[in-house]
Amino acid sequence: MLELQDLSKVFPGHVAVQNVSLTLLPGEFFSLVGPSGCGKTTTLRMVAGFEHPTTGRILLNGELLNGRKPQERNVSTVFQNYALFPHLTVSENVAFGLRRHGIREPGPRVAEALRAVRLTGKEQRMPAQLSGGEKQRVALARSLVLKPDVLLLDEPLAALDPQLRRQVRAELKLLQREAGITFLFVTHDQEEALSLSDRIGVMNEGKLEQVARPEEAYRCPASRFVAGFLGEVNWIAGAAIRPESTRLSTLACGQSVACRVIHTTFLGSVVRVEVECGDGFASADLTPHQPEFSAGAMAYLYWDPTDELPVPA
Amino acid sequence: MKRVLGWYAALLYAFLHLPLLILIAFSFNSSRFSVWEGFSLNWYRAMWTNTQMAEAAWNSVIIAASSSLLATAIGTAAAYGMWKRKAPLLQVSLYLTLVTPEIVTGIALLALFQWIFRWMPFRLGLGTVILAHVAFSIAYVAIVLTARLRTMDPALEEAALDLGASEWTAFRRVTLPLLAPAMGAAALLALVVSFDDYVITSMVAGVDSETLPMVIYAMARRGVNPVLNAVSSVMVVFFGSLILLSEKVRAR
Amino acid sequence: MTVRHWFLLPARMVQMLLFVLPLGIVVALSLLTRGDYGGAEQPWTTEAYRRLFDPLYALILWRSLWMAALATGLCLLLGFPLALYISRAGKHRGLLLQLVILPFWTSFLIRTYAWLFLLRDTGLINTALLKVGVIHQPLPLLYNDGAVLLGLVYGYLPFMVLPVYAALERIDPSLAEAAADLGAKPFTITLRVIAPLAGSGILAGCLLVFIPSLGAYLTPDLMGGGRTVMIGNLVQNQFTTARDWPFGSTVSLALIGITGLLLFLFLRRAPVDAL
Repeated sequence: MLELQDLSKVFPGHVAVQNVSLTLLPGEFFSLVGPSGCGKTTTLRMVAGFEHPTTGRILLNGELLNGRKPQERNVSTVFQNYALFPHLTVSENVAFGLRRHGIREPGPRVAEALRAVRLTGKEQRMPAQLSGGEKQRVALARSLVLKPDVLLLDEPLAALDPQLRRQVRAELKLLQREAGITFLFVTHDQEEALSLSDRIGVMNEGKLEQVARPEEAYRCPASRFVAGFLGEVNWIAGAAIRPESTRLSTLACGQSVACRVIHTTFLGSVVRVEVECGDGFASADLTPHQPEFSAGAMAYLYWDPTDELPVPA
Repeated sequence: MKRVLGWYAALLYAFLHLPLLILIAFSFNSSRFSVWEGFSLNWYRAMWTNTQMAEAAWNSVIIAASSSLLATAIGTAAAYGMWKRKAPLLQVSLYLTLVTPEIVTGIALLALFQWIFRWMPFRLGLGTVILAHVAFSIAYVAIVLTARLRTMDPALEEAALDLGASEWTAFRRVTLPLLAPAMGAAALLALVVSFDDYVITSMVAGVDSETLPMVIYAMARRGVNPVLNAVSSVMVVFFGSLILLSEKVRAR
Repeated sequence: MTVRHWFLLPARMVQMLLFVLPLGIVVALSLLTRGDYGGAEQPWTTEAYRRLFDPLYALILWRSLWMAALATGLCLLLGFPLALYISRAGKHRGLLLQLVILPFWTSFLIRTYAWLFLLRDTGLINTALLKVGVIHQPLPLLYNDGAVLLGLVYGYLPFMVLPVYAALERIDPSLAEAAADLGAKPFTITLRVIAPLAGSGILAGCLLVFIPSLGAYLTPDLMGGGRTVMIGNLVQNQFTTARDWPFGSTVSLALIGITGLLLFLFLRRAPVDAL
């Protein structure tokens, strides 16, 4: 169990992390998500031991990690660019950590790890000969083979192309389930965080704004920032509505807001209708079966009050 | 304009290379005058049997090999240390070593050694030359290694630490193997710079530690001697091939 | 982090013992008096510094500065077109650069000797000219300022070509194309567009030629035959023949001072991270 207690990191002229407190449950897939510069990577590096906290404590299974060198912590990191040792083969890369821990015959465990990431047969390849996805799997195997208490992943999917990313996401989730190891996953992609995690922590400018299950954070965001970061929000008449909950009608009724249609875009699964209403803009994601709206036409925007996001002002 | 440039470039390359080529060509001249009188290997034979030259050459080899090895080790360590975190004083100091005129470095080292010899029972000799060469070669090695380290991903050492390696092990098993080619190039550079040095060496060498450049200088001073042509040719061909070979190895 | 300190230690020790300390000794020597049999001894005095301003030595200093400046100018004039050519040579660039660097790997001494072989009274050039009948007496091609200049230019030309080439390489080719598009002739483009943009490279090259030329010893010694005395020769002379260590030290310090000043000025204008 990993505990971060009131963690802060101050660089000269810049506070990277402010009073972050967090508890990871054993075996959970936890994502730290936020825009670039929000402090998520710095937090990760503090857990790994590459940065020293200015204040605060890090506890792993009750033991204090502060002051311990990276090699003395039972956490392992998967780096953004994988950091595979270019002069060693795949199996030597995976065996590296085992050898450092005094295991003289790493063979069987290496084979097992490679099997888990489905890279059996590529033992003698050099990193330069591997594809992006394969490199990532070697990095995973190299860290997992040590059976760390927590696996730290620093935007591991960022370097992959979008197609591959979706596929690897699913494999990653499966891997985590099978290994049963706690994952601390850092990403700036909210879709990734929402789809993969048991819980997410949304960070902004060094502060942790919300820690919750994905669905909960999405439907009940704790702040305007979280609401806007995890998805799109329409701010209408003092309420916050998601585009998928926003409805349009050609008739005025009850609480509806009068708008003018600016643009419609066919997105495949939905039709996005962008409207201008009074003081602001909004988008409604309509299923293609709903009536069509043409640019310039009048429309009336309404929503189900239970779909409102309870965002504090 | 490109054509004009092309002709110009050809001329300039001729200017750069012809003197040496002519020198080499005339090492095979049977007479000692600058008129071609037939092909001969006389001067190579004379060079071969010249004991003074042979001893000097041997001294040069020993000095170059030892100073190159030491300078490479020390310079690599320095470059690595500076890569991990800035060491501005050392960096400036190394930079200054490069820009100080050789004659000044030479006399300064001579002054140092003479002062030391007042308290310690040593003399000018191979040792002082090797020390002097190490002193000026370190900067060259540091430049080569610093350039290489600039393209090194710091995450590699972090990954090694993360997996349980100590700082020393991370250096030894991850960074060092990756630095090896650059170290080879630096060692070669130090070797050549040391072998060719005249100015500094002449100031700090003792009576019985003559180097090849010192012998060449003395002979050149006295006048033109075709044996010098022969020695020059051998050195040019030897070091030229060494460099070309190392380039080939690096390109691989 | 302590590992890092161990790594830096040997270099730091070498620098202290074999660079800083010797220079310190030179400073100390500069403040002593010449001994009767040479060397240096008490009393402490600034006499050696006063002698620096003797017109005889001022002349040598001026001459050295002038020679170094000429050598630099010539290297620039000769080297810039070559660098330009190489930068436009497409796939042959690597090879052409190698050909420029190759002489550098040969001993400076040997390269200087090659010119001795060519230029002396019984050298190749004079012999050929005599044979053809163009001249009746050998031309004194050696042992004068011109020969020294030739030696300096020959020796340091690669140091000009390389940085200028590096700077030219970095210039966006579309700039020249735009200039041509606006009606500029090739020579004008080179002069008014390319050369200014290669400024930092030119400056670096000038420095890399000027500084060693200023402190040159071997070239004026061999090619100048003792007649052309530059600062470098003066220093060597004071420490060997004249055995006037204090004065030799002051001249050395003056040389370092000028070199250091130039470097400082250069680094302020163009902070190039060469190391």
